[in-house]
Amino acid sequence: MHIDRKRRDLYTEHFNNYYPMVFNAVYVKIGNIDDTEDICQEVFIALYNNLEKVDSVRQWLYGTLKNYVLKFYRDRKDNTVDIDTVFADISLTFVNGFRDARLVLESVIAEEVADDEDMAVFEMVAIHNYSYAHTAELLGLTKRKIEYRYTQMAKRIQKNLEKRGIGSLEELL
Amino acid sequence: MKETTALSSLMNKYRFTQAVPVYIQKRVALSKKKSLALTLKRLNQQTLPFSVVTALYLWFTSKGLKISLGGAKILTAVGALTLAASLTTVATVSVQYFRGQSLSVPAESQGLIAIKPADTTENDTGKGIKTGPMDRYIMAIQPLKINITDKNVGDALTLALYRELKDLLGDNQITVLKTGQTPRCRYFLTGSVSALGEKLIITVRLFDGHSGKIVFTDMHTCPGSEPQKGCTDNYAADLGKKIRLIIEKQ
Repeated sequence: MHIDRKRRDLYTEHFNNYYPMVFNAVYVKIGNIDDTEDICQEVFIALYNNLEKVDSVRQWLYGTLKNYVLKFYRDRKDNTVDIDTVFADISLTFVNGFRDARLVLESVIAEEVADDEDMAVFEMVAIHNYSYAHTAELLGLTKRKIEYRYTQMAKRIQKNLEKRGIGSLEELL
Repeated sequence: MKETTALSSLMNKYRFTQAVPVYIQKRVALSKKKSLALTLKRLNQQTLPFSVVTALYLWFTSKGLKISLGGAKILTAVGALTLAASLTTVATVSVQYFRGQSLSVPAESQGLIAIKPADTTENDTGKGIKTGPMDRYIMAIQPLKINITDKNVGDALTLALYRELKDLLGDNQITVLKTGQTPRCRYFLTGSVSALGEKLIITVRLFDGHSGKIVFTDMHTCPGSEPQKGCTDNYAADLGKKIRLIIEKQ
């Protein structure tokens, strides 16, 4: 058994940083915790085997988990699930104002939530509805820090929308 | 409306939200720990020390204190050293304590005498003040007083007694007193060798080192018909057994 310490350490740090993100992304597509764990393990083993080739770990993991989720549905031969719709871009399914507002929001979020750590907080709190406490537990930050970061992000998003002519977030609601 | 609440509503309305149930949220941390161990095992990269490091690393993360893996390694090493130092200290103190209490079990199993606790108290000066060090030896043998012309007989007997008692008490628990030496001991053994015609009269006394009282006396006569050396050696062996009984009773 050859232990590659450097590689193992890097892998462990990536695992700690990105596991919640991969888990959430897979779980919302699968809806079963055991299958989600299995897929997560496969995704991270693939990451270990490709560590040198990976530039952006976050992007690489998203791309890979998508493939594994698709493989999961193919292997199950589940006819009740339309694989194409699992990862379909939701913005394309709506028309008129809704789609435009969504695209604007998407672009604002992309501009204001650029930092990797902010993105992790945003995804967990805003997208996956994690409490501040659970987010803190998974990301290695204090609850107050999570709350502060999320509030700052919300303020930045609001300001950005103001620049685009939207007076307040309520206008979009 | 508060910015964060408004943002959450907005995310919900524009279908960005993909909520994970609360009971699943609670399981993610555990799942992370389990999956990390499993993947490292599958990759043949798991070792016992590293599993301790990762456990510490994930524990810090779960407490909102994100440290680097290197930091976790240093903390584990420091923890291990502290633990080792503590165990060594405990072991050393225990050995010192039990040495003061009795001979160790292996010593007893070797046939050495199981003595009562060595005196760790100090002398009473009579004014309520305790002074003086603890007992240095269990027993000190004062060379036997020789009242015969052949001084070697007395020295040989002293040496034979020393050997016998050393086997019973242990190497570091017995000494032969030299002139001017007065170490604190639990027992002092002294005596004399006198001649009566061709016979040798050996008398020995065992004193309590603290009270000064005689706890045991014995006398032996070597008939002149036997070789003196054989007689004194046999007596030393017998005396050792008797003294053993006396000490064990106390």
